[in-house]
Amino acid sequence: MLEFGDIVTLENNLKYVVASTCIYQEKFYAYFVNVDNSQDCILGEVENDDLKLVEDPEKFVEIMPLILDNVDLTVLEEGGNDEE
Amino acid sequence: MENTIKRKRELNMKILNVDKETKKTNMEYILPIVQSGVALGLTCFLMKTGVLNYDDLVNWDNVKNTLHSIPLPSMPSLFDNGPSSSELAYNLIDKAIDTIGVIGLQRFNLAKKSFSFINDVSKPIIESDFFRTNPVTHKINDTLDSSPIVHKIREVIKVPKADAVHNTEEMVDERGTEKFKKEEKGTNSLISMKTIGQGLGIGIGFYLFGTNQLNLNSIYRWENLPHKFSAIGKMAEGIDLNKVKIGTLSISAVNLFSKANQQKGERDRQPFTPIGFKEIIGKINAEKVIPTLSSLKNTTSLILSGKRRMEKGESDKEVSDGTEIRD
Repeated sequence: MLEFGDIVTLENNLKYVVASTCIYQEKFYAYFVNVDNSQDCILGEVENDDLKLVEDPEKFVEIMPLILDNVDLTVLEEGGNDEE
Repeated sequence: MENTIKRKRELNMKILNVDKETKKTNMEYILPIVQSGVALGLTCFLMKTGVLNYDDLVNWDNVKNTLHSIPLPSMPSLFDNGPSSSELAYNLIDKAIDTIGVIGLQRFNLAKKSFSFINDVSKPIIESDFFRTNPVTHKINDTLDSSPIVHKIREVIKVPKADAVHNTEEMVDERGTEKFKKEEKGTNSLISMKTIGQGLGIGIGFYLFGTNQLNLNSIYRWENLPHKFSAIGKMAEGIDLNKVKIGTLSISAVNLFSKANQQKGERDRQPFTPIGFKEIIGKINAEKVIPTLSSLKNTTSLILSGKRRMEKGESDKEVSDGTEIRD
């Protein structure tokens, strides 16, 4: 099963880090971040080695809180720049 | 039809490989990637749920009038004729404390943590295509482009090529076979136009937020946060984000002036006294309560533990370490 920090290579040959995972309605979801472009993020349902992207905005809003809930906020503790 | 099929295929992909080893030895590589990605995800979530609403950020008429009415500053006299850097920094901190108030300071780090968290969240979206093509962004850019003060700042931070390169001298490497040119930068770069520009930018921000021309409180609709994240909302309730912003700008100003003072020392080849935040704090009247380091750490941990406490259904007024937050 995918875990935080795993690096996956997808069919498009791009590599993504698993930032967080969750279970929603008995399905496993993971949030991926492209290692070379952090603006390329994917929320997807994972079953074995199949990844189905979540594109529906309503579903995104339902699942993201669970994903974010499983993120250790201390990961973001170093963020925030006082310099303007 | 073909595009639809192609699109459906892209929505479903195969995972070809899973690397579980890199994270064991190189988490430093992974964390920044996660940080940015989560920030973007959270920002998207906040925008989709209406919590983050850039449309209400500014009163455009007021901003335009304000920017056009600010008198153009005389060219940089920060280091030569004006009050000393330490006085400026001290006055800014003093002003920040007056603005935020004693109670505000006790919650300052809590608010700052919440704010910097959200600030970090909004960075990726600001750099994204979504934001760059947003009508609000165009409004911001149009307003800035039409402002004389902004033009002046842009002039200040731009180093003309003629000034950037004073001397060139040909040098020969130790083998004597190659020549290269050593370009010596002009004195302007030692003063750092960028530092001056940043200082002016901070001053503008200070003025605009302090006079409520830019209102951060209108951006964040805490009541729209779903329950799971209400810990953040409850922590931030009642905090005037504009004052928090002024506080963080003041800290930036202290750091900036410290850097500028150092640059001035280098330029004049004089010994310089680094000005740090702690030195400035030491001069503040003791009656104006400054959070101690331990209480700052406590308030920071509160925002992290608050989320966990909310999940357990505990009161958000309970504090495990005995520190009380006054309303």
